[in-house]
Amino acid sequence: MKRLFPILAAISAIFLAYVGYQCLFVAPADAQQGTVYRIIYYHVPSAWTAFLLFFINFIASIQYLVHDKPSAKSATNRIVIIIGALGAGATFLPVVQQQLPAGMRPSAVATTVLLIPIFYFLIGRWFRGQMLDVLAVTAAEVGVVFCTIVLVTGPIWARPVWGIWWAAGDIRLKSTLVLWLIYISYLVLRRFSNSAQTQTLAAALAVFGALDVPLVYLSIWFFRTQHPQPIIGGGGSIDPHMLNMLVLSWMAFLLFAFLVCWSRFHLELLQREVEAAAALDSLGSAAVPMKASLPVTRSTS
Amino acid sequence: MTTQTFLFHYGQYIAYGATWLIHCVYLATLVTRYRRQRKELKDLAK
Repeated sequence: MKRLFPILAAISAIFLAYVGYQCLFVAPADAQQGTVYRIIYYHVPSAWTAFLLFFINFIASIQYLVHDKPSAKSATNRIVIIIGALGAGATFLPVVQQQLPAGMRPSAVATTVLLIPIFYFLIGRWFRGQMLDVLAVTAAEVGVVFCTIVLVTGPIWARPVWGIWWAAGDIRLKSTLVLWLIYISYLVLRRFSNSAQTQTLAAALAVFGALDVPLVYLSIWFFRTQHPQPIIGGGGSIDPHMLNMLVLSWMAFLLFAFLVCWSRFHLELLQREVEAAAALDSLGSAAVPMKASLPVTRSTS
Repeated sequence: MTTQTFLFHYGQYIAYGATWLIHCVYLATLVTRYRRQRKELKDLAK
């Protein structure tokens, strides 16, 4: 595994350099927006990556909350299977399809719903006990980095195209900012709380925080917003060359995010190892004077 | 040249730079934290 990391890092660097060059200099200019639209090649992949990482944080948090409670775990397993099966099946019913916003494909909704049980059981299989908490904090922290990029690059595009840096009443923008703040508070809680319940509290916060992700994603369908319509899953449209470039860019960012998560995961493990060693060390140093004081205590009594 | 015109022509480069600046700052914090933890572990082992 140690040899795999530098190989993947080299592949990722080459891939990102290639995609960066293609996005900035080769991709065709937009008929109305000129070249500034190219921001979507890192704004949109960063948003998708952040959503994916927050979703992983959500699943890992649920798994962590139930990992030491067998009855809760089996109930959650059943609920997740029911959500996946019913949710995916229901999207193909005509009654449900009529309720979907214009442009939203039922297959896209079904795929998204099916991701819940798939991720839930894969994460539950690969990560156990405290590893679930390590995964949750890793995904949240890297997700915040990608979400920060979304919030920084968005206004750089909005200023020349909309004429304003930030549309205060736009629900997509507001919900994204709220999402970022929720995960910042999650990280702050983890950083500054010394309680034995911190991990459980953080996992509960993450479960509620993740509820903002579908709101962010669906806001452009359900509310009037200045933000451009989605280009994948229905709504807007995009030139096939631009779409290919966008997907390629996302692949490059996904590989990069995976490597950053890998590093952060190992850093968290190291941090916990240091904490455990420090606790053991302090216990050991406290035990020595206690032993030394024993004869004195006996002699006085 | 106004901010709007400037960003219309060069916004994609500025956003690209900002993207990688944020990533590099984060990676630098990871490296710093990793080094600090390794040092602490070594000190505890002594």
